[in-house]
Amino acid sequence: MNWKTFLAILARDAHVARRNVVALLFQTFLQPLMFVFIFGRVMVGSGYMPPSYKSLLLPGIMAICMVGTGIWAVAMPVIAEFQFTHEIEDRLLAPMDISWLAVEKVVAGTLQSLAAGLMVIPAAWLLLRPGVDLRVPHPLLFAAVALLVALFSATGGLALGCSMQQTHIGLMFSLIVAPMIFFGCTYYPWSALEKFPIMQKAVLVNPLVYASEGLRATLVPQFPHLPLLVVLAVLVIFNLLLFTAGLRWFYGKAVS
Amino acid sequence: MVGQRPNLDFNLTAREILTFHGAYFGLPHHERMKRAEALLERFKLTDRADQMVRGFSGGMMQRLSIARAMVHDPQVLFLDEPSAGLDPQTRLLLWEIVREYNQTGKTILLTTHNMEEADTLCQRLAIIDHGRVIALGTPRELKASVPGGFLLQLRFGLHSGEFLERLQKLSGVREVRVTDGVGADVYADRGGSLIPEVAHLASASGVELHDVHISEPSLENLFLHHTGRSLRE
Repeated sequence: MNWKTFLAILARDAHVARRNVVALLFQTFLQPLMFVFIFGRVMVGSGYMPPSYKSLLLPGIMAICMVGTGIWAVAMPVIAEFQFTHEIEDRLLAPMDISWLAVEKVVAGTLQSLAAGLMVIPAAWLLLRPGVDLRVPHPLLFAAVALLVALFSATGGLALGCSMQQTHIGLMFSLIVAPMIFFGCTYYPWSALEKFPIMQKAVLVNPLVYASEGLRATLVPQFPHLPLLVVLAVLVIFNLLLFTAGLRWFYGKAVS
Repeated sequence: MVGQRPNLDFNLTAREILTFHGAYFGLPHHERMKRAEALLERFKLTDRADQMVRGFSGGMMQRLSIARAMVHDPQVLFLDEPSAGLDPQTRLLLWEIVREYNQTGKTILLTTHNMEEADTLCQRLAIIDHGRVIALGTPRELKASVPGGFLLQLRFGLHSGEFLERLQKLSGVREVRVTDGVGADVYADRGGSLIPEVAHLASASGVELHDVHISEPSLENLFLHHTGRSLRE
């Protein structure tokens, strides 16, 4: 494995991300933070929501930001670079195995997703305070969940990016990403679906449920949440499945 | 390696494309900056070096693609139709640079449909038709291998078997091929001096000549001789 090449391509991605940082920030944070402001501040302040909703909302917002960022950071370049401009060939010419280029994209997406997750906590906290009760009893467990969520976003981005045409980007967001967010236990805990038993079982196929519940379990364990062991196991399985499929599809597209 | 169509990294400037490509191949920072500067200068891209390549013209992109392929100084350079669609000035610049690179002891494998390009640049030439090498040698050897070398393309009103037979017997004529009902390609050892005889023969056989076109020995003739005139997909 040629690590010099791998790091140079990673440096190229960091360079491009730095160049687009303002657009990236708006794209990642504007919508979730507006949601935090309206639901966490305005609705709670006016008495329509209980004050505890502030703490409940924050892990879900973090999950949305992380998953959105990772998917965007990997899927969009993959879709664009495989189109008629064949930009991907610029990187395929580098002296490195094709599959490692996909791995590099996953690493870059994971790092961006982690950065988004870490930035949204203080931003949302500033918007919501006072009254946010983040406990984080086991920082290492929180770090492990955050890493798995970031990896899920990047591997999901790779699999989506390799299976979508440029003309279907709009559909990808309205048919896959938006339902994933709304049925992903981001704005409410999974236990809140008790009164909708069919829906409660159906949403378990949505990986974002485990991301939000995992972050909830490690950031605000005082709220009901799925068992952490289940969350970790399911996230690992999703990561492996998406990574394997993404690598295979990426290779298939690159050599065609 | 340079593909037929530009495949540059649209998120970078021209200089960054060269320096990052150097980095992919493990060149140290100072070295890749130096080489990028030299290549930008050589390919006349210095004044656009720090602009995004998205707005570049086709010719500029093609120049940059070749510069990118040279950053890490490869022993073998693959060029796939490098001058397709380029203006004459850019083509001449590319040819000059390709020759220079070759003179530094590097091998260049070039594919082209432009016979002039093949004739000017190549030391060893293969003609490939339907995936098979049908002729191989230096341009001089190959041109000498066409029967006759000179090609006379004749157009006449009516087809006449007798006329074609007598054409074949003229001195210096090596091969006569009927191209369609009203034309023939004559491969011969001489060109202009054959015309009066062809004209005389035509009037003697009652054939009216409409057009005569002479081509000197060239790769174009060689290519057509070997591959025929039907369209290639």
